[in-house]
Amino acid sequence: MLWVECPNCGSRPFEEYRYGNVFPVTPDTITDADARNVDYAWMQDNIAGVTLERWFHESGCRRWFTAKRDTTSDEFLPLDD
Amino acid sequence: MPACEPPRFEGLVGWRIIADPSALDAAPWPAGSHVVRISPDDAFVIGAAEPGVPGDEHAIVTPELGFAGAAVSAEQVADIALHHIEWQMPTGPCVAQGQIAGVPSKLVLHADGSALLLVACAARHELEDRLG
Repeated sequence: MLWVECPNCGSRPFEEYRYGNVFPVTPDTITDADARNVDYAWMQDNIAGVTLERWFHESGCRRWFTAKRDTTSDEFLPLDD
Repeated sequence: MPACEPPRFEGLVGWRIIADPSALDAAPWPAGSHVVRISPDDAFVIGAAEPGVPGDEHAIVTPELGFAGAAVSAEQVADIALHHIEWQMPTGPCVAQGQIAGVPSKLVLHADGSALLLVACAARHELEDRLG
């Protein structure tokens, strides 16, 4: 089972959470404002590796938080490393 | 057959306060009130006249009627932890939040092992059924 560490409540099973997607990163090579908006909103990078993600602890404190996860191993990493 | 008596819930009347975390830390809660700290900026105050938060002029203080609560003994807490909780139950006086029997709930744990079990009123009967 995937366990997610909530900064307020501690470690809980992932069923208690709502996944809020990764932080979108728009490449600097896209300079047109409209194109940047499209890339930000719609283009998913689907990174295999470490990503910054938003999670919502729906069954606990009901707060959003940011987590760093390795998508290849589902390991949650400390934010400050 | 449950190992011990299932909790019996009753609706709670209190105040919900959203404020700056440091202001909540320093707030002088009314005597006899019971404060459940849901998150650093969110508190549920039971059994008090309208509380004030002097440290935050923008604090939101509003009546909260959305929770039901049940006093549970240390034996009942142990039974709930054994049969209905997947996560590691903390010890000591604290608030533990998460799914209990699959229902989002809060356990306000006291030093003697007893607790106040909180659940949203809408899920009260579901939790009663599942714990029963």
